[in-house]
Amino acid sequence: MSVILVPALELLNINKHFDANEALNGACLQVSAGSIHGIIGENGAGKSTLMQIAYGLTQPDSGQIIIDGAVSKIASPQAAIRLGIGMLHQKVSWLEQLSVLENIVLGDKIDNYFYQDNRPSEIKLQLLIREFGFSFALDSIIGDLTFSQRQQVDIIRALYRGVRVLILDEPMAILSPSESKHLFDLFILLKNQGVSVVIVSHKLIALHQICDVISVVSKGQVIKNIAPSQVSIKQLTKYMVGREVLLPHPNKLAVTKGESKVLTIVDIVAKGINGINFSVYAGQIVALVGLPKAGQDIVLEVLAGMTRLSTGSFDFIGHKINAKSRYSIAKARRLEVSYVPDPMLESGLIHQMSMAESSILGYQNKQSSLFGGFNRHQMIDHCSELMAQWQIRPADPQMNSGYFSGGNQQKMVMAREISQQPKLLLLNQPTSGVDVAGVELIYQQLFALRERGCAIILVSNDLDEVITLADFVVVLHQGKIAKKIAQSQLSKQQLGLLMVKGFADD
Amino acid sequence: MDNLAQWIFLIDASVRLATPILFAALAGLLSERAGIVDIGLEGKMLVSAFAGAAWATYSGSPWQAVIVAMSAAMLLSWLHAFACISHRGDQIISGVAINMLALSLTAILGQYLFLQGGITPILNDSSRVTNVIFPEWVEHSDGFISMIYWQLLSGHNTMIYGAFLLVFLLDAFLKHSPLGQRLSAAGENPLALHRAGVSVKMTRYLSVLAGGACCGLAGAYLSIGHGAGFVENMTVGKGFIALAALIFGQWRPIPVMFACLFFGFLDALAIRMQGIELFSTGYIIPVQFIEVLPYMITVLVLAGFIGSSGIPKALGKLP
Repeated sequence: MSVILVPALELLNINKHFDANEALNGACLQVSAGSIHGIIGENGAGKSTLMQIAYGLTQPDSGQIIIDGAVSKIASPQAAIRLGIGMLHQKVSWLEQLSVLENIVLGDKIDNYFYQDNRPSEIKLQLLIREFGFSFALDSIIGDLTFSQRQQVDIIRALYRGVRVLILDEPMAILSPSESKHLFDLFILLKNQGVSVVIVSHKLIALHQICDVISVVSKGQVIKNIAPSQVSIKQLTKYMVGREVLLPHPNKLAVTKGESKVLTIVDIVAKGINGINFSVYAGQIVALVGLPKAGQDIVLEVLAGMTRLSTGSFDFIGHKINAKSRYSIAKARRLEVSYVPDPMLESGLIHQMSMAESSILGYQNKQSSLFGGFNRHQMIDHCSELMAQWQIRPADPQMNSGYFSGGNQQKMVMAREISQQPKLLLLNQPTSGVDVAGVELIYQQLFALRERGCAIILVSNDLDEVITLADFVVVLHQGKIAKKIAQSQLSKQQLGLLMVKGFADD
Repeated sequence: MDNLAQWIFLIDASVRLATPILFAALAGLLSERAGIVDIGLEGKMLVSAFAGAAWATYSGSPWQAVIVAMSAAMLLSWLHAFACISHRGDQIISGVAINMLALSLTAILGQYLFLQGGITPILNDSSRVTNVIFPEWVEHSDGFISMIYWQLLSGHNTMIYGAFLLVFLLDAFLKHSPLGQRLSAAGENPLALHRAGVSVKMTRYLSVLAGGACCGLAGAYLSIGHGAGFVENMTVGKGFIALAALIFGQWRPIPVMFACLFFGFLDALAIRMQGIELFSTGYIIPVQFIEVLPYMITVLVLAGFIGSSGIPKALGKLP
């Protein structure tokens, strides 16, 4: 007797277009029960759209969705949840003042509008916590949990609702190495329980390590399903972008260390940081690393003019700035400081503006005439030039910025800031959501910029990125500097330990 | 003793004057805690005051009239919700439109129905909401306890007791009931509510409609509880004072109640201060000055003394 295994989730011939652009063009995907399934593809290939269709966030123009062998219609996320499909969003959104339990039962069916007995749910959740080894209590307040714990709350909520297929969008984006490890262990537990885990990510090395199957999405279609055990990471990149990309990206040391100091920071104190000191030379990349909220974001914000200093000062090529100086974002731009904010905050460009307008955002005064008029042709030409140089797709300067995929939006923000030839470039998670080819491009541009004598300060959660790019690393711990390390002495393990404990054992 | 009586009368008047503001502020609270700005409180109060008085005139039943007043305000709330939630319209503009509509509509309908220049006929006591007289547990005398019992506690309009009871019910509802938690989630973080699988639209509709019902009580109190009939523009800005009280009380029922009592007290003080000499100098405080005092204090309070820590984070924003 043979057993026919029906896939847990099957998407057949899905078509979807936005405006004139085809996002999906006959995409087919099969997710078997109890497997870890990776989805990779270039920025704008249609991965996110495909997942949004599976979770009912968008409706396909045509095509079928088959769940456990039955053709289903997923009209809304609520319907998806009822059918056992859950999705974890990149940005976790919770009611900060409520407890874990209250947040989870918020969406339960209400029998009585004025009183609800949470005890049965509590027992059910306690069992799940014990079974999977989650590291939080049900009565802890969400606002006190770390990002990684909130992500686990999201997973436990999905399990509580009987999820069978769990879709995750870039789940490792802002996790530390040990947290990622913990998450992978959890995925394996889920898999053994018969839950299918679908991971959309650009972290090819991690996917190669944990996935049973990896599907490659390209130009709106699933072009290949691969078992990672049979291919190398190099081949994987070839399927994805059409050529081999070396992973992890090779680093390139600074050719000449400039003699001129670009920036000297002396004992700066602001909300969240306390007594930070370091200097940056021309042609040097300095990375600030730490656990989330260790203060690295604040240092960047202070330098960018977004957060005020309480005490201390910094000297930027002869301009001394302290708590009394009128330092602002506009002033920073005049001093030729460029800032690329964390793409998760979505503050780099405005979704409703066309990409051409986004390409001069922040520098619009340079482009405008006396009465504030813009030369549209010049603006569009400028944007097309950047789009060609940075391989931003679709190459349509008139399209709204919001219609571009996250990776392409980020490339545009990077392109805009670098095209201004800054003396100091501040980067926060510059490659978050960008595909391997894009990351390679960004790294090349940064190395080129460094050769021209620009000083770069980088904040990144991706330690591989830090090791690739940085000439000098400053580790922060709870708002203070834990250690400064030169490139030659860098190791990933040591960085991880320093970030967590604030000191090294040696 | 004379002094005591004066204070008791003053507090008594404060409570009476605070009640319509309190009902309206609670109405605003229900809507705004769910994230929908409710600037149309004034208009809804006016329409419900008119509808209540008109129904009481025809039917003679105050309780039917209260229901009609509530339904009239809910109708306008539904309009507001339809414009702002279903069609993503601007919440301020919709509210202002409701205020303008209410002011003219009540005057025109009043004239058309009753031919008395926009007012409704004066109601007799049987068609108004009755007062509650407490049982004779305490003897009538000039003693302190007797004064408190008979003057301060007993003898008020039923709706006054209802208003203060509602404050505590609403507080418990928002803090502890599942529906109440969803309501505040819709105003704090609609995305989280949506991700939890709850319809934000439905939650907001329900709370805006509940706010309408509550606002109807404010109007009914004015025309068939405290007053005895409808007069053109009889709310005279109470809906806006209620909004001020809502901000003053940081969108929390019990602080909002105290804010309303404070504004009621200012109102009562204004009435009592009319014609009184200032420090025996012979200078009489102008009536207009006293009347403008609550508004001035509101402006001062809003300008400097109250932060916005309690504001629902998603107030006025669409998901």
